[in-house]
Amino acid sequence: MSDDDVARALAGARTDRTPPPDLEHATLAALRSRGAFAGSMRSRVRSRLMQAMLVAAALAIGVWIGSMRAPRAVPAEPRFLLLVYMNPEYRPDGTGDVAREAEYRAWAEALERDGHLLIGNKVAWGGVEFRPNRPRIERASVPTPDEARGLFVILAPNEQAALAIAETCPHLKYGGRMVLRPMS
Amino acid sequence: MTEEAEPADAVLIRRFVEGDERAFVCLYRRHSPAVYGLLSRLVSPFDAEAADLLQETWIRASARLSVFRGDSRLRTWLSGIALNCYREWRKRTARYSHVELGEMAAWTDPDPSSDITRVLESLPVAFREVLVLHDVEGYTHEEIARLIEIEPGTSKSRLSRARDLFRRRWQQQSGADCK
Repeated sequence: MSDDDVARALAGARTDRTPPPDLEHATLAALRSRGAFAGSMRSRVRSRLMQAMLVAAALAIGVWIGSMRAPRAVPAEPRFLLLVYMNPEYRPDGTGDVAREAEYRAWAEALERDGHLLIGNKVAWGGVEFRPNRPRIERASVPTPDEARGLFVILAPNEQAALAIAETCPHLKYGGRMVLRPMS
Repeated sequence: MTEEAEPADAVLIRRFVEGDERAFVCLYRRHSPAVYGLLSRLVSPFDAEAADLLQETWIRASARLSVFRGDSRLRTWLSGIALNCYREWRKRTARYSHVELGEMAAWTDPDPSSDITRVLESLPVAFREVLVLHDVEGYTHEEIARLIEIEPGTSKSRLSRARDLFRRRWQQQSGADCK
């Protein structure tokens, strides 16, 4: 096999690849939160003025409604933190990333519909570590079995019920490690 | 009846700068597959990292699209930003050896990749990136040198060794597949 053969084989590897479908949504959300779609300076000023007026109006309405009715009670159901790890035994058995993420998302959405989920998120590797009087450390963005890859805040009447909910997570069937901790 | 032509990148960029979200979506859908393909080949088999890097690429690009002068094609410009994101990722992960990364790859996302991708994945990172950038993406040694902060001569010698290793592993795999 000559260099030309290698080059030919590799030239054929230059293929496009469809990104995960939820990435578009996540990217748009990230850009919205940065005000990327606020438009030109004039429209930004206009939109900020509009926002200020809306906030003032909402405050006025809120004060008026608040004066008429008692504050709503916050549901006090116990909360449990469910952490998901990518341990070496985790074997997705050839399930594609996209299909697997959709499976986890469907599970979380079903819990949310049933009122059992407060928060559900995949967690990126890396991040920043900091403590008082020490320089900040930018952590390597690489997979590790020791740190959570996903977190869920589950609402359940007690630990047994929370455990029963956690056991329905697709992560278990792939051999993934999970930790459930009550939140005080 | 004629089909309506898709707006050119320049038109979409102008609309995006004016705050049109749909224009951004069009640009994202048009160019992401190429940029994601490039990033995937570089960080394979860590697909989740490729996705994170693609998102970072678009976030950075969106902040600079208003000053994009059109001297190069938008895809080339985006690839440059993607490669900067990759270079920073690579620096952050440099303290991990290839062996560790390879072991991790065994339990991260398995990818139904092609034979060539599998052989590329098996190469040490330093070899793979030169091979991908030169032979797959068509960058020159001078460009590669700037991108990954090595000397052009180092890029040339790495490419030669990378091709040699690729060839051997490719032949090994072909032999294994025939058994």
